[in-house]
Amino acid sequence: MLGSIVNGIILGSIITLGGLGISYILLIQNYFNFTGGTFFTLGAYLAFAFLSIIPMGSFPVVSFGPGLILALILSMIVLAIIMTAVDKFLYQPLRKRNSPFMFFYLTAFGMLFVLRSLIYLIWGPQLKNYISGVRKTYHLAGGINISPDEIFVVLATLIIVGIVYYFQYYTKLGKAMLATANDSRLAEISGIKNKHVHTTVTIIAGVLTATAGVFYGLAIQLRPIMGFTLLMAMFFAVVCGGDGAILGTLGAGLIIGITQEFGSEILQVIFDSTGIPIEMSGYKQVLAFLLLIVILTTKPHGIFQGTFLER
Amino acid sequence: MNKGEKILEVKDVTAGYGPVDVLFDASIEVNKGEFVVVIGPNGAGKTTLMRTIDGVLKPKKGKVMFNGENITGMDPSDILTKGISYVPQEGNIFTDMSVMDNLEMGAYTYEGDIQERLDMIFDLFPILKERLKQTSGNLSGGQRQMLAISRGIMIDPSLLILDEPTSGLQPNLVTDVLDSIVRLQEEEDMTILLVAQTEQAIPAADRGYLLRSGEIIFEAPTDTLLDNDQVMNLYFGG
Repeated sequence: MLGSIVNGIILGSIITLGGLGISYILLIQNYFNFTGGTFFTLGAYLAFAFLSIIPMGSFPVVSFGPGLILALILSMIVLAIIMTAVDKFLYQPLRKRNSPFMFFYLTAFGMLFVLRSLIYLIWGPQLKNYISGVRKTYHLAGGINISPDEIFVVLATLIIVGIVYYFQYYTKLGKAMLATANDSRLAEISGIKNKHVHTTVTIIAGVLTATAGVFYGLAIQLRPIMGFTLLMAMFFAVVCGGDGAILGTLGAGLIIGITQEFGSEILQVIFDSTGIPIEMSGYKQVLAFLLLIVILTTKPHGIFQGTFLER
Repeated sequence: MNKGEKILEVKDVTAGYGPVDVLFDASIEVNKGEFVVVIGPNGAGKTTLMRTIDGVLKPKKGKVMFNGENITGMDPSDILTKGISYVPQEGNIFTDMSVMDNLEMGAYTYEGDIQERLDMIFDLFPILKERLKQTSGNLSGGQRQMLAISRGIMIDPSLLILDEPTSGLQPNLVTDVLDSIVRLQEEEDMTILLVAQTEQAIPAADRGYLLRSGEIIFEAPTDTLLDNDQVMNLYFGG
């Protein structure tokens, strides 16, 4: 049981980073980016592609080397460019025309299918890994099995969340983003160019999404639907964390990660003991959805303080 | 630029919303160091005129010159960097952000010493210093207007445009806010263009324009404005 909680924390870290990417788009551009999960997958596969030409090398303790860090940085850059291009050519014209939000959702859905098809076309449906061979794992008390790579993912996530938190609440550009989210017209007459803010937000979302994808690939594995299967959990983190709230998204990400892992294990035990032939690993998203419904009906404004109050 | 030289010139501007024009061939001038008031009944086009000057609305006809430069159709953020700061009647503070964050955002493009600007503002509105960490949406009506004006003057503008800054305030607060605006003109050498809703604002100004149905119909020094029966009838109904 303790092991599944630890797995939940690892998964929750990844959900947090992916959720923050979606959260930023929601905060500033006011629509749920359904393509977020597929960009997450693309980020992971881009790093995989870069690793085919960059030597991995080695670091002490963990199973990867500087090659993966370089591949991650390149993936961040390329994904940020792709997402910025998508924003410029698809969403910016919609914003200019004050199009209904349904248009944004339809565009996001369309992009989701286009990107997913491209990922299948380029990399195929097979599972892939950044590192081949058996990885070192620590076997701890309470049935906890954790690898140094997974510890790296959790610690790196906490550091990234700290950096994003500082950026958002203590830098001029971060505050300008909040001002735009609060009142974009007033922000514009205060000298904050909305266009620049939109571009900055898209770049940050690209960097966070690529990182989440690569961390998932490192801690688990790469598969074309990896981002899609986490989409509901990421939406949970965004909605329950408060759109744009950094610590809220972290808290909600960890809650949903632990709920999915721990909850599915508990339910599996119950189903096994009652003889119901259900394999819970395939229904983790259902748990995320159920928890989302419970939270939305009991705490419709989320479970944390929200973007403007969490500092 | 010397005091008394023309700083703003609005020439024959026609503007509106979508297919509906609200302002017709409106022309006004503001000289450096002046306090100019624009008055008129509801729906006369006062706010439309201010929005057009600040670039929030693009005029269909006419031009806006500032310090001799044509700024017609420029974005509000670019117009701000030219030295025009606009404080709208509504939506003039970031309600979810703290008082301090509002002031910082007011100085977003300011390159000088921000602390100096803050000191000047705290001297003008001491109450804001006590509310720095408070969420601005929780301020009282008067404090909100003080913050809105402060946000507008953080960049030390050459021209401050205030759209009905005393709207909805208690009479004693109206006097306080108007006194502060006069101090800005006199002590900070700021040029003020103000849309007035209350007749209390008129004596504080040097000169005024009367706007009716989108047209400037009268322009005079403020004492003449107040003595004019047409103005009093049209604007204050008596």
